[in-house]
Amino acid sequence: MKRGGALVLGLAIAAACTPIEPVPLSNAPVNRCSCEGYGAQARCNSDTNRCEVQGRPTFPFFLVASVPSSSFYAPGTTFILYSDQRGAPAFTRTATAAGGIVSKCTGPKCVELGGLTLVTNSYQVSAEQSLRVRYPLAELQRIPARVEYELVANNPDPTAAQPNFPAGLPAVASFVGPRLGLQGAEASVALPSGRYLRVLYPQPPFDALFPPRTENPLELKPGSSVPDDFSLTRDTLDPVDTRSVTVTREDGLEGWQVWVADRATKRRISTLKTLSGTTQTVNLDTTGERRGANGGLGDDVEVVVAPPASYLGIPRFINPVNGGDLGTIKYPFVPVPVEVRGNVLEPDESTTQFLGFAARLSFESVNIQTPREASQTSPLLHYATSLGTDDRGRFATVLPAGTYDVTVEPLQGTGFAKSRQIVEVKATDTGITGLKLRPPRRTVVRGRVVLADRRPLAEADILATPETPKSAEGPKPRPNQTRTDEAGRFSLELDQGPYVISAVPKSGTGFPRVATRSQIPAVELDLADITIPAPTVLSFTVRDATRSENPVANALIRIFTVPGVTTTDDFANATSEAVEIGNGTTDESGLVEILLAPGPA
Amino acid sequence: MTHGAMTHGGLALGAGLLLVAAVIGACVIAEPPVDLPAAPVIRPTIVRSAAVPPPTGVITRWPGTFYVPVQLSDARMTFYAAYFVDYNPITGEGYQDTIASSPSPGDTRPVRTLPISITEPARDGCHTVEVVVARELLPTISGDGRFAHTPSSPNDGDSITWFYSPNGDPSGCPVVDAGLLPDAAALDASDGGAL
Repeated sequence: MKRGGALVLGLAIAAACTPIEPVPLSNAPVNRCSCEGYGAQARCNSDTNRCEVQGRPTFPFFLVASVPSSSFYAPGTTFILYSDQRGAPAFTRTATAAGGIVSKCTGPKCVELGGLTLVTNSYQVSAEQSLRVRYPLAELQRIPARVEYELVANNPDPTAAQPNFPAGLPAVASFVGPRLGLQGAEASVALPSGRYLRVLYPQPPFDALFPPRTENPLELKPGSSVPDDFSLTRDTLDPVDTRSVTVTREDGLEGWQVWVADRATKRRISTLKTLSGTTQTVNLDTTGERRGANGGLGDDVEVVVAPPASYLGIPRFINPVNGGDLGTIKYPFVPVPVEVRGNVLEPDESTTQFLGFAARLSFESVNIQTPREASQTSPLLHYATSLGTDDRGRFATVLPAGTYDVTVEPLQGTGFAKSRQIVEVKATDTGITGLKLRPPRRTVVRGRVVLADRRPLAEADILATPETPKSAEGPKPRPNQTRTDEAGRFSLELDQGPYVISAVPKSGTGFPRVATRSQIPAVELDLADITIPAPTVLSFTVRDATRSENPVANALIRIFTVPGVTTTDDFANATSEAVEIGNGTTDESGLVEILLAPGPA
Repeated sequence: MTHGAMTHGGLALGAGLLLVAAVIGACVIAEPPVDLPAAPVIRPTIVRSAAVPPPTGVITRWPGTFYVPVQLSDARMTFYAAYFVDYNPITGEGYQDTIASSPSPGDTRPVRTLPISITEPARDGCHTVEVVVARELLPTISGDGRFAHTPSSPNDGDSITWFYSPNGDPSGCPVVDAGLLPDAAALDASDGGAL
């Protein structure tokens, strides 16, 4: 009896003491020791109970730190640091003693954001130059100018060899508007130190009188306050005699504008002149643009003649400059624009019904008809516009007659791919051109994500990030994302073109993000298994560049690299875009842990 | 009754009481006597100061991926994020997609950051990018953005907006549409219309 009672009592205790089973938050597998199946390099880290590959990444990468807007230091600023295959210079900071204070931020466990430079820009005009354009100003009077800054290389340590930024890196361009300072108009901004392309654009009405000024590169050293004044004088103004252009148009030039642009970037580099009458000769002043012999403009610029912004269906004339001479531009006769109506339809032409769907369309001319010219068409005339269809895919607009590249971007969820095709727009007896645009279906892409020990990785985010096509045949595809199921499988619809497919395990699982490149064809595609290895742990503290070296909390830290690049020198020949391979957010002590896989394939 | 028997009886009683106390004590661990006060469930709230890119200025370079940190009252919460480019509240045009964010194992941080890849719009003028987060959005019908733009409950949701203008000029938002007002009858291709 006593034994039975004790047994019952024991069972009661056992039942009562059964631990409460936690509700599983997720079905995603978690990185836990042992490390069987993860390869010879993986070791169990007893502190974290994770399988990890010891050491640091052996490939060069860029570290992009986005400081939150609530930060005391550099709010809303993005810093881009570089780490070569040995971690220099971002992770090799040594202890320094300045003013009796010894730095507490030393590599490899601490990264210091670059310093900030306060730049104050002004655009000054000499009295002589203002009289020349019949707008008298006091000597070196400041005029309001908007400034554009584009970071081209970050160089907090001038002694370290660092590459220019590859494409795909989230570099930021800043525009700063002019304000009234103590000495007149000026534009001030605090920027991370580095090398910049800087352009000063005089604001209306001065944009018609004084040219933009480009500085490349502009070196900003950390921790300094730089007055960056530009003075337009007889010496800085480029030779005027080579900047004269005559524009003729039979139907008149009232309100039309003309300027010179850089051919590669399309950036305006001259004054902006407004025209009138049917023939007018104007001087397009430039500064700092002595590209050719004898101060000429060179062959990498073009003259743009544009109709007023309110005009619809009238093309621009863009004339490439040859031999540095702007010469004479005769705007050809262009017939009245053609009314274009059409539908965006299913690709299957055999269907008897018109099944249209909503899309956005972009028309960009290849050439425009010029019936009174011997050539009948002109590639120098350019017209571009974009519009949306209704929900049945119907659209209407007006276009100058000619040949167009049409980019069709069906709305998400329709199942059709972004595509490009050539169409002819020509005047008909009815005055209407009808178009049927049939974009292809999106490609179904399937794949599976597994861990190195072949377990499926459930609940991983799959991000399909488009890349810019190397050939001009197709448009840049659109991104998409999905999630793996319990078997690690995924399926998503993508446009045709180049993509980076990234498998991003859930945070807290202890596995790294893996990125692979893929060219998506027009037919269904089964990707090879994406295998998630044991991570290399990049753990460090992010501190600001003040003397007290405060930790930077809540900063988003992203790691980018270029596939195939193993040394700094490789960046010079790299043609691929940079790919994000990991990210993390700093905690209140500035500490961030980023799990990295080997570089992208 | 002998003294020894009384001693045995006392021991048994004491042991029994101890066991009962142990059971009760053990049960305290497994089953608290009262429910802990539950934290009030608040709407998912976007931490604007930590969003990347910052929404405080005009974006001049398309970032490709927008990072949206969302503060949650319960780290186990599943919520939804719908995103839009040049959203038109009348027609629902501009709706891109809706994604769900579910909790991570062992990650109890109250802020969950969503990476959202969005297609770059045409580089003409200024565009508006908007992300709406909520525990539940109205059920989407045929991809109609007006449903995805609205949380199921009026007190459940938050949104963040960016302006994108390649030349840094915010004027002109939303994007200019060069299309003419379609005449439904004239454009109806099934009628023969213009085609």
